[in-house]
Amino acid sequence: MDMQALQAEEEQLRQEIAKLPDEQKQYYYQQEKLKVKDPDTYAVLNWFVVVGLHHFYLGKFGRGAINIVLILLGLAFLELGGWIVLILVFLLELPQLFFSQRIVYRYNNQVMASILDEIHNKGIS
Amino acid sequence: MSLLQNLTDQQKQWSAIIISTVLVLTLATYKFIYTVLPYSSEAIAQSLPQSIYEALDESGIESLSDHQMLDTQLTAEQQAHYSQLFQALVPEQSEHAELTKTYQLLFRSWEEKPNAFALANGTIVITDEMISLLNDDKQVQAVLLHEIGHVHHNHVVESMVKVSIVSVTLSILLGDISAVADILVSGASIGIGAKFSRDAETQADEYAAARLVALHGDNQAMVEVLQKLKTVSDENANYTSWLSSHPALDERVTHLNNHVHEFSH
Ligand SMILES: [Zn+2]
Repeated sequence: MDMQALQAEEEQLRQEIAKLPDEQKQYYYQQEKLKVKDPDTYAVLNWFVVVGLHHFYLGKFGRGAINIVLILLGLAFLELGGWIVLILVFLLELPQLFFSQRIVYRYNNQVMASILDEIHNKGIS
Repeated sequence: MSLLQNLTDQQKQWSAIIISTVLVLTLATYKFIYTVLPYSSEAIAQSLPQSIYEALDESGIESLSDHQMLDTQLTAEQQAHYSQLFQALVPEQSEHAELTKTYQLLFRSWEEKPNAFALANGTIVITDEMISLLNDDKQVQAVLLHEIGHVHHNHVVESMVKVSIVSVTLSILLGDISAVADILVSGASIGIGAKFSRDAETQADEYAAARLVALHGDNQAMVEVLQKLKTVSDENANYTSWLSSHPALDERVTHLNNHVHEFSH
């Protein structure tokens, strides 16, 4: 999904939110503030000090853990070809730096949608 | 487990990020010190031009007098005798084929303590006090071979490069500490002040032991020298030379005894 599509999607979600009664709207914004992620933090965690911490930031613990295990194994067996693993992890993870705005945008839209779903389904008042 | 459940999603995410960072940084530091540093120091030291090695020995020899090293009191015959002994020990090739070491033995007198040390390009200095401490030629051979071992394995330049890499890394990480770096580098550039790592000392001991075994069938002389130096160092707590930079002498003797065992089979 490109940036324009994401913006359109957000616009649609915002319209839905605007239709919520005040009490639900308040609950929505509370939740949004808590769950929405910042693309710059994501980008920094992607490459700063340790490559691939951005997965944890978006709550992808499995993916993050695999990454960390690969890096630790790569380091532990550095001289036995572990460096190849490190470079692979780096090559695999770094491109996300350049798409961080879009990835986080998409994630945030999903968060917004899921909070709306929650409000609609549970009928939170 | 209940503690983990009580954490909010955000707390869990940041805990994972922090724990991972600590784990990776710890292992990375360990690997840097014990794998990357020795490997890259060896590679860089090998690739330095021969002229640097020559210059290091020249400046090292010049600086001997700064360390209160005086002319030797040995007679010309004695000097000829030990030089001959030394020349017979000089290896044909260095561990690193691209380096051509020029071995030479210098004699100096140094009141402070019996000492022997190696410079980068194969200049080895032995003090009169060291020679008079030793009982026989075999023991002198043991000391000389230990120093030749340092030259053979290129320890002087490797440790200089290592110190430089560490100071550069530290100044990148902690900001400018050029003053500290200068002191460290200039300290290591003269063989006299050089503190080799335990690994380097063990390697030099093993080299000497192996060569002694080849010459005499055993490395007894090396063990005797270490024991002798231990007595001297026990008498003089300020003793800071051939040994202080070396691993505990008892440990080295034990190590060598194990070696004898290995060689005798
Ligand atoms: Zn030594």
